[in-house]
Amino acid sequence: MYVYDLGNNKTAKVRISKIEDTISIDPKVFSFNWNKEEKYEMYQLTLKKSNEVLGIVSFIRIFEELRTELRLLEISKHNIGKNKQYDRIAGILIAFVCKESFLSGFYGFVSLIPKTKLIEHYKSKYGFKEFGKHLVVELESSENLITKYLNDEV
Amino acid sequence: MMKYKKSEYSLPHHGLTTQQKSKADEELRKLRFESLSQINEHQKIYSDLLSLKYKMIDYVENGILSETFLFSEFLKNYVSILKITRRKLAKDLSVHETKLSRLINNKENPGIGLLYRIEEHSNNIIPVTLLWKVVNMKLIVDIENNNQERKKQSKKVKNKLKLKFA
Repeated sequence: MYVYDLGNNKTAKVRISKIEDTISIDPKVFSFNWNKEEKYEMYQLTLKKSNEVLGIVSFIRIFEELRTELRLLEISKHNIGKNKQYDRIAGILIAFVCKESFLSGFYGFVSLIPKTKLIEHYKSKYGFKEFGKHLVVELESSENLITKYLNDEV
Repeated sequence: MMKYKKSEYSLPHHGLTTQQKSKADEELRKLRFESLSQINEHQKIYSDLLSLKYKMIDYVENGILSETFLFSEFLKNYVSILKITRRKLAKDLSVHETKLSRLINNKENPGIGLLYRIEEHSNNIIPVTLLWKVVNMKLIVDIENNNQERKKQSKKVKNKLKLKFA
């Protein structure tokens, strides 16, 4: 699993780990109120070489509907906008939630509710489709994200 | 107009009120149950095989041998997901039923040829390299713990190096 270092045109290995306590989240790097997410599952994406946290995601498994709802996803401040250093952070975290959905037996079904201005972005970049106010991926489109973002191959 | 290519965005809170969110969830629930009712047997098998594959990938990355993820357990799961008999799988893979039974009961390790056949049989969903890594994790422990073989082979070694380490 890797992110793309835009400054050096190189890849950098990353790992995903569970966040047990939000106290470890640096508010200078992440501005969302992650304390409110403590009752949900939270994971962070870090660089293997330095342990720098690049992104955080929270989600919930809804067993009665066989779906996973992606609640929040935040990319670190240094990696937003035109001067960002690493690319693929959001893609990897979304793909990770897709994988967890398959592991739960939910057919890779992941739903989320983006702000209106981001709807087209999630549809065109990640293959989400509209299910009412929610956007969803499942089965092949979910697997495609896993193949694209969680593989080691460049 | 936003530029979408090579752009990434965070997903902040949706901004809906509790009532709006409940309405959106209820709408999704109905659509979800509809989509679940349309999932066919092939899609269920496909999804279960992917789930099995991702569990095996996590196991290999974790690097700790577990009885739950032995190749023999993989075969049991594979037969169960496909809802076929062991006899049918043996026939599909061109192996003798007794041989498959020995593999499923962990009495024998598979050769690479069989792993290629499973890759083909699963339509490449379960790659041969992943299967080999799973088999290898057990082999490494088997080799490490095989003192009988170690002793037997050591008797055939002459002029053993006599080096001392601090």
